[in-house]
Amino acid sequence: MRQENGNTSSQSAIPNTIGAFRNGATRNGVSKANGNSTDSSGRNGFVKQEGDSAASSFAMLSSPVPTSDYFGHDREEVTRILMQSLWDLGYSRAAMQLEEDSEYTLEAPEVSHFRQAVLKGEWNKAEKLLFSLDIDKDADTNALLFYMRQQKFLELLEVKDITKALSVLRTELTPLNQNEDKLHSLASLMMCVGPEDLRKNAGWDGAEGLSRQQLLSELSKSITPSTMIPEHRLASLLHQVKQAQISKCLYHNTANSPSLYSDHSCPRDQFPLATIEILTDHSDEVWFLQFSHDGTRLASASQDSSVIVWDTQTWEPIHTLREHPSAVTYVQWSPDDLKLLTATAEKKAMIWDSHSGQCILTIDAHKMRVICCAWAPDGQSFVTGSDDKDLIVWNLQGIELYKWSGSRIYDLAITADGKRLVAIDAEKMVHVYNFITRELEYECNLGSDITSVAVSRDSKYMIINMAAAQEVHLYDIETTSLIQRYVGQKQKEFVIRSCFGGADENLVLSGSEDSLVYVWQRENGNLVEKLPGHSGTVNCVAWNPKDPHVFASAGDDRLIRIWSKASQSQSKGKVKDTDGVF
Amino acid sequence: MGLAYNTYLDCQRIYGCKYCKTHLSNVEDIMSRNFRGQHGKAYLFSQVVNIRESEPMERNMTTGKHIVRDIKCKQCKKIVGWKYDKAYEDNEKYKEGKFILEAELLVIVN
Repeated sequence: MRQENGNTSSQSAIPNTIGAFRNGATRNGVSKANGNSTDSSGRNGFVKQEGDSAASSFAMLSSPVPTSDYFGHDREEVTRILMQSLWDLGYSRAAMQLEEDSEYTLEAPEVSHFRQAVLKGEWNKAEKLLFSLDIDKDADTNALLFYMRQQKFLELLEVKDITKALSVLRTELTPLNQNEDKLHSLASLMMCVGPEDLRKNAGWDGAEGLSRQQLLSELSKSITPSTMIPEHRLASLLHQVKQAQISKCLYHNTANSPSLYSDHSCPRDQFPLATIEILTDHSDEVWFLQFSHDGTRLASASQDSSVIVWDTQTWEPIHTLREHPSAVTYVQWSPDDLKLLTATAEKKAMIWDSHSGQCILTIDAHKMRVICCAWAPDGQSFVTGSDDKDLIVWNLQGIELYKWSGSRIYDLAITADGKRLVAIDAEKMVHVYNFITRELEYECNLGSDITSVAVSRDSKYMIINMAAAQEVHLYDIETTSLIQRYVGQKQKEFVIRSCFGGADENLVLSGSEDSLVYVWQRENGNLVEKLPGHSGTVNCVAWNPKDPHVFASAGDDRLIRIWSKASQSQSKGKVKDTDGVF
Repeated sequence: MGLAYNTYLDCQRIYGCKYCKTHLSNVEDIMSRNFRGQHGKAYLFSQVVNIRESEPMERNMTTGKHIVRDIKCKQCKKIVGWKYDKAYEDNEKYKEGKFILEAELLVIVN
């Protein structure tokens, strides 16, 4: 009875807090109760009060408490993690029952008290309790105190108690001898005009936000995990298991989380490895491909001075945009798929109505060939890059809005969030511009000739084809760190393009000068397939953004090959010769 | 052939293709001005850029038999000269692996 009351009262006392807080509070109640009733009569008494005869008899049957390990895993660890997940899942009675049956406690009372003190912002109490916990030997205790006092300082500022905040800064934070720059930046926050301004400048979401929770998980890193089990431990273990299975699944191509009931593996026959269609309408090399954002159309750009718009159901051409003055190097769908932007070797960029096939606008300002172009995500402006060392932003009327000069631009991409423009140049450099302020964020020399760049849907990563190294590299745009290399494709002389692919952009594809299409797993760089079919350099690859089972490749053999599941090629029955018909 | 990015030279006197101004070589890479091509004066260069090489063929020249291949501007595909693959005479061997550009087909670009 006491347990029940303790539990409900602590829950009702803090009705509007986040789950973890509630869990912590309830754990506290339980731990106390458990501490008071470790004898078996107490346990049985509780079960009887619940009036659950089945549970009662189970409790009787299961004693004495078993002590052997759990198939090679530590019984205590498994049981406590189960307890935590039962709380997380909301099965509080079952969790309490498990504590009773197993005689393990999820957390010692002082851990619960500490958790509660931090989450309630009782800083003096939290500081005292912190040192009663089992802290890592290597942990810098001053750093831990700094974290806590920083939170205290910010919260005081948030409620505009400047005097106390100043005192915390002087007498509590400064003596800890931590990062001086950090101290200065904290001091400068005292100039903020209000809580809103403070939160923004401090990059902190306030006492009512997640900041206390974040502080707790930061502190918990230095507390022995057996003392304070990391939050949602079972969920993070299961997540790791799934990730390990996915990275072992060679033909992984689904965005759905795998089932826990069985070991995950995607069947090879569901992977797009078969040519289901060959598009033969171009009369010269095909250099560029892009699917419309809704996946219903494909645009292809060719040396034959045309762009063809294809229906992705019938694979028949809808329009052939012939009025280009010369070879077309690049084609881009507008964000609403209503327009097409094309770049040509004869110095012009053009905008077309994608439904009527009419040319709407011609940009004739570049002094050399236009080699790449991109739409701003809002569709209100676009960018062209040229051999003439100009990179220009235009509005839809064809008026120049901004110009960066000085580098011969080879390829460019704008992140989907509209924040960055990435451009690569003839001097092995990557330039990353803030697309909103137009400022250069950074530039770096990759030490190899580079031919193309593509950015991930989440705007965080880019893949770059390294011609000299004959590798595709995946970079974190924010940190510029090299995440993964994809090896195998051949490229020396020509512009070879790569793309992200698969249901969850979990693949990387590239064309190649050895006439193969290369497919790798994005995460670990494992080669999934080298697909034969083209009879010359494969210039470009593009994945259908709406159909994870379809992609296209374009080659010097003047052909566009459409790849999908083998079963689909049989149902269509149109492709007789998968070795190319050119 | 694929789409190819052009190489750009960065020096004082650049020789470009007369038709499309694509950079081909520069004055510092001239080994000899004492050559003649189909269009008159021609220069021997130690290296050239932005060209495509045709198939090799045997050709009898004033200095003897050579295996050469015509070279074309990568951009506009016009023939701009030839490359020596092999010279049969010992005292012509220095030309092997070197390029002839015809003066008439060049223009100074900057």
